[in-house]
Amino acid sequence: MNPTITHITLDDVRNGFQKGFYCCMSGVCKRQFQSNMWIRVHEEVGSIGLLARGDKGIVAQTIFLPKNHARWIGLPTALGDPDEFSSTMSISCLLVHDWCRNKGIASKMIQETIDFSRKHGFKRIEAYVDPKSPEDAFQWLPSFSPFKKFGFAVDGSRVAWESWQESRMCHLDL
Amino acid sequence: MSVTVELLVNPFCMADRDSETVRKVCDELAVSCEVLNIWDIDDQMEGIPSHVATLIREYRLGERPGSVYCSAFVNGERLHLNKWSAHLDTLREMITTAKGGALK
Repeated sequence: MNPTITHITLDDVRNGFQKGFYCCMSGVCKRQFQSNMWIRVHEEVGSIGLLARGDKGIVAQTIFLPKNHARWIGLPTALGDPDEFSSTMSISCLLVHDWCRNKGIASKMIQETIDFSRKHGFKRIEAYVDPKSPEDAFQWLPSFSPFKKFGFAVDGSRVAWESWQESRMCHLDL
Repeated sequence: MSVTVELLVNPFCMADRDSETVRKVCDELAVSCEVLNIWDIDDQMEGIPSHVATLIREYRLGERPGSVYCSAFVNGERLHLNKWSAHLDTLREMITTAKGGALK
């Protein structure tokens, strides 16, 4: 499998993504609470994430936004200097369909997120992860494994995600 | 007995599902529900109930781990909506208890 990875466009946000994906961005245009926020973030940043499309539709997604926005709505973020929040990209979702895992898709999406963030002047990337292996990681959290390959480091013992005590933040300085 | 329900929406993930289902539960039990979108609330938090403002402040200051989910409050008591769909039963139970009744 060699899915095509593209950035989520404003048109995607306004008109909705194709069906068949199980997570937060499917049909986003019909979601009144989300669409306004994502349009504003997209206009500011130039993207809000990535979609991986295979023969049968979307097989993976990454969602990212600047840390100042992520912190504003209470998403998992690391501690740190508030002055650096707007130059930190926060990966707030990285999901790959069960049947497409262990094929390098997450790694490709992380690489593209790094390239995009660097190109747009971000100094740091954060993500919340389950430090365990992909096989043992909690269903709704990305494993740290693909991040580790790019030099991300896990931040201490602070719980990242309120609903999962084993979650941690990881980061990469660009 | 007076019952106050607020829904603090996190617009990241399941906001619309949670808004629809929480409103439905409130309608069933004949209580009103105030919906507050965290994206639209500034740091002054004017007019925001204190228990909701406290949660928002904790998130924004990093004093509490983050979440992608919404929170409901019944008379100020928080229910984190992170256990679909069991949390709806919990919400019914909390509202019914607050009304001074028992679930049938």
